[in-house]
Amino acid sequence: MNIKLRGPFIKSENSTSKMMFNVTLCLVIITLFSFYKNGILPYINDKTDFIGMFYPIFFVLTSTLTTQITEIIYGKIILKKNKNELLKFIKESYGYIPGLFLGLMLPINTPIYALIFGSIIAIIVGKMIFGGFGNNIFNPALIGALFITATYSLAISNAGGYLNSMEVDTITHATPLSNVVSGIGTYDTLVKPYGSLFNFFIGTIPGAVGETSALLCILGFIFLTITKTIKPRIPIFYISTVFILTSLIGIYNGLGIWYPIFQILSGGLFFGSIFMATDPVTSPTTNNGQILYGISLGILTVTFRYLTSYPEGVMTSILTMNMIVFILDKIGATSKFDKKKFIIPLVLLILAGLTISYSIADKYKNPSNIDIDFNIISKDVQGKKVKYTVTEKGYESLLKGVIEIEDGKVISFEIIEQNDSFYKRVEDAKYIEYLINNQNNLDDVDTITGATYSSSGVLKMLKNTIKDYGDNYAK
Amino acid sequence: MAGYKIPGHKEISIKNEMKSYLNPKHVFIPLIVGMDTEIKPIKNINDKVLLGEPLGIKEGKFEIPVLSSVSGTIIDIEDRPYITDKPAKIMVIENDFKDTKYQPVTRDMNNITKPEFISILKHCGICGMSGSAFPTYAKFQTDQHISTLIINGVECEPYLSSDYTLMKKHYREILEAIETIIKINNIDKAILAVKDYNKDLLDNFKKYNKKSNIEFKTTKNYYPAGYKQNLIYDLLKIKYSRETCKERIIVCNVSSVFAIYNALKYNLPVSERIVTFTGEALNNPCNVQVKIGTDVNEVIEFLGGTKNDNYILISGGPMMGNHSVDKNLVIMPHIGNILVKEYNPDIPTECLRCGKCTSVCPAGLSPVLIKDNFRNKEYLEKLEPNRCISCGLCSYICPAKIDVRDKVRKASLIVRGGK
Repeated sequence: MNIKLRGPFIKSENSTSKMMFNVTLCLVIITLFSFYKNGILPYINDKTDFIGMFYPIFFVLTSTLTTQITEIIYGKIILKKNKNELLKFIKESYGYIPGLFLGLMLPINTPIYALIFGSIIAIIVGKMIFGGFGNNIFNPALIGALFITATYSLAISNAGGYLNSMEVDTITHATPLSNVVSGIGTYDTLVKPYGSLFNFFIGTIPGAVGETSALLCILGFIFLTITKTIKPRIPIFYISTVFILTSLIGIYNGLGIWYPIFQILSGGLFFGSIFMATDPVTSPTTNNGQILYGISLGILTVTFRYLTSYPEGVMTSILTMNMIVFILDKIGATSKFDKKKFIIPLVLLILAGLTISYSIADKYKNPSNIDIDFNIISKDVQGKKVKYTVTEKGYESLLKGVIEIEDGKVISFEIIEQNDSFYKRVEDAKYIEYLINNQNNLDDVDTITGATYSSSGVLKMLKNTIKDYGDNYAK
Repeated sequence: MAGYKIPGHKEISIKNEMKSYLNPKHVFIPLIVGMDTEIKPIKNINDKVLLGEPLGIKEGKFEIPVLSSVSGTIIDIEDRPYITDKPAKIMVIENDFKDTKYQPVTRDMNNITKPEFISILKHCGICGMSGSAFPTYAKFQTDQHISTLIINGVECEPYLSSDYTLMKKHYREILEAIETIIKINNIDKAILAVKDYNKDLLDNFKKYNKKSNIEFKTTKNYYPAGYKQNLIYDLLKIKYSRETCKERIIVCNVSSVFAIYNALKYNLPVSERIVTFTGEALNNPCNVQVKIGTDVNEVIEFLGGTKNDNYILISGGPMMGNHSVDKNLVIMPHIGNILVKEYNPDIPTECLRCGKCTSVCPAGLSPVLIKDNFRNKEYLEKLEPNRCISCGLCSYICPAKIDVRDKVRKASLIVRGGK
């Protein structure tokens, strides 16, 4: 040997391929759980046929193969690799992994063409244009998922959204977290419709194809931590932050310990934090950076869940934080020599988290008396009888309604103008009649699956009108 | 402190009895101290030399002689690159097998003053024996009060067991040397540290020790537990740096302490030492007592050779040792280990930014960021790549098999070049 070799002359057993294998193993087990939950269970209960039973596996395989094939084609045509280079490229680029993730994080009713499109976008936009494996800033699977949910949300909802063929008969709401939108909720509205928190833990609740089982995610976390595959600080700080902030919100609103547990077990938080937020390429490399990353993700997720109309929040949080990983790494690296550089951002983050959770808690405890989306266009007062013409925000359009109240009782209610995509479901459910019949306990009525915003708009319109009558004409 | 537990492989050499190879026909003494090859020769071809006679002198700030390990005749002075890439002079001495000593004395160690102590260490050419080859006297040459002397018996590199073997055999001499050193230098206390799995080693010391200011402690089994900052933190729980601490803490390798004993008592240089000959390619790996300057291949032959020819020679441990390109490797005082193994370097793949290098770095560096920011010099300076202690843990741990340490080394050159 005439070349001077550089040490170390021993290397650890760990390797990129082993790490990728470990992650794949976890995802395959999760896919099998999904096969049980979304395939075998409906089949046993006669909700799908024998072929339909295998749909979850077909679904995940489709995206997995699409990303892998896209990458091979990209390598062959755009990168112009020869046969040997291409083989090495396939071996070292792990093109199937974004597809595997993508298949697991989408609603089961996502149309297959949307899934294929999203997989292609994930590889090309999410990974390849950044320079391929190791160079991408954003998690490729999340880019694909964002593309699909932004472009095909209508198609997905029309096809049934998150609910599998069994859930669609028994469950009125899409996913547990979509209930949070219309109020802070109670155990009876948030947890009971799906069984108990135990169902949330093992994963027999509605949700994306593979993200419902907290139990499997925790087992995966233990396995990936022992095999030194993931950065365990990220999920620990992420989940803890969500737990603490939602505990505060819950305590402030007089809810028990079930509430933060419900929050962390919902919306794919375990799946997202353990498998996606720890994606080595797109997460911070420094220990302190990982801590700040986890806490920031937690704060963002809580914010998204309560203050925007995207109730799940995990996916958006991770994509947002991907953008500032380099800043967190800079803090993480320099704070190793100067602790202050870590303590200051940490304290700021904690303060931000507390402020946000306080304002959310307060918002739900003392709901603003003025609904800015509600407008009274005209009132026709005839003694104790008032005919209101009012508007309220629906899903994508303004709902216009006419409501007549006499002696504090709603005697007629009609929506005269609307342009919401799913409004037909409100009509089909005879929701307005339902509301009129339940006008004395409107706080307990549900909204409609697949038309949450339209139905909630109708509900709010009625509530606000009754309130106006009460304030002005009841005495 | 940051670090990582790596497989020890020490049993390979410990399980066999120690052997001796003290009568080589020729010894080869490179005029090298540490990485410094600019040593002024003071002997010539055909000169007769005695054991312990100076062959050359490293001049300058840390002056130190290079001494002969045998008595005999200089038959050749080779001039070629050796270990370092720069050419160095190598004195070839024909052994007369008499081991006639240069200035034989037997001192009473109780009556040595500090100036005498410094002078003896200097003239006997005692240098750090665990790899750095820094002149030992310079560590003690200070006006600051020395609070603690730490004797490093941790031997944290895998495969090495020469310090272990030495401590097993020469615990009385080592203990006597520690007593003498702390007395002469007025040091408050001394701590001898070994790894926790070697705590049995301490029994002999404890039995024989009569001084209350000599302590025996163990450290956890991780690499690099023997790195000075780690060792001081593990034993004393203080984050030591010479700039910030008023009191001086000195760390000495246990082999160096044994060398100090021979220097103080008999005025002897390091003319022989225990070297671990180990590695999977050797037929009979074991510890060997060898003359300084012995050709490594002679010893390997003496031990029964290698399993095949497909091996590389590494002087030092597998983490920080050097690959010797020509196989004419000779034993020097700071080489405690010869590793003979097959090695096929893995082909590096793309960095996946797992951050393992950052989390294990004992110097607190972020190698992955250093590697990514070669072009951004301002940022690179903030990442302080020159803190690197070359322990090699980042390259060891890298799942993509990237030689991360080399990237950090290059970065520190960039940073240094800009100042």
